[in-house]
Amino acid sequence: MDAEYLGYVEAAQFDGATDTLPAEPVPDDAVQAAAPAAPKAAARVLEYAPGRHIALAPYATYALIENPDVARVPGAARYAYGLVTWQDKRLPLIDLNILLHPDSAAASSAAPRYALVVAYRNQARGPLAYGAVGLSALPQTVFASDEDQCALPADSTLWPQLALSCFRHEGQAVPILDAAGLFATRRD
Amino acid sequence: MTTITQLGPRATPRGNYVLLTADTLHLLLPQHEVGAAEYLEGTLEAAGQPGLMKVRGAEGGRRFAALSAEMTLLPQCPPGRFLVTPLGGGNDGLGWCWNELQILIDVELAFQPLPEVLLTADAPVTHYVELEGRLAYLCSAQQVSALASGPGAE
Repeated sequence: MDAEYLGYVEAAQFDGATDTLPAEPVPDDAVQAAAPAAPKAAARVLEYAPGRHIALAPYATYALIENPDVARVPGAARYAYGLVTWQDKRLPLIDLNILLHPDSAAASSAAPRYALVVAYRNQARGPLAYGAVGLSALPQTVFASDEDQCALPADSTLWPQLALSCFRHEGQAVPILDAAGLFATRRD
Repeated sequence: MTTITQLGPRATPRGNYVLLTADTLHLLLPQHEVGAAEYLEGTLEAAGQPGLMKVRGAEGGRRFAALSAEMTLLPQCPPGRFLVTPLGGGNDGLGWCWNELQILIDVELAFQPLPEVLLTADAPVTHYVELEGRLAYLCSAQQVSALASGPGAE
């Protein structure tokens, strides 16, 4: 099991920053030719099922574990892979596809290829807490502006509870999820 | 006596426990809730009620149950489950089949709460402990016995 760090940002960036993506410098090659360009912010886009994406703030995506070793939890929620070990901690590892689309997604007993460790706070200035989401592909970093904002998709009843906002990327609506909301409560 | 109700976060109740192993499932029960172990004699077969088994050829008599890694009742007893214990006084007449049984005397275990997001309203376990590199889940005889009175086998 290998863990790769995705570039942790100082914990102070969590304070009061849960409702918007942080403004980050945009690399030159990402700047659109059309001017004047609207300010862009980075987002980590995750394909949680074929053709389905969500985004997280980059500062919330903490580390990536390849081929995670997962301990199953008896009687756990259907969307739960179980517990994954990371830095001597046992983190909940969840299947976003089953969580968001419980009626259509099939449960999988196999562990995912990657576990993305997500950091969040349950309260402002509280200690960092961690959870993990299962992925079959590496996350992508994209840049979005206010002009890309769009309505939430209608394919999950959980979007209004979990999404802070939504933007259009490559023709698809990509909800930006609140990591704390994702891991803080039981849902079944 | 070991009491496990209303455990707080990172509870470390001291007491006597029994570690019950059913393949990859490890359950910790207070010792006083686990009856005397005996060897399973005979082969088990379905007893008519989903998830319950009886010794092949026996009419009436004792019923047996075996758990999966997900803590559901198995329709058949897997190989290696040759240890049988009653739970919670054995008033239900049920024998539970295990691979292994280990008694832990006067131990202080650092139970950790399971993350809320993993739990369901009727989750059979809420705390775990690391024991020799494996996870064991704290449970009561009542919680295990309730599985046998549920909707049935997987």
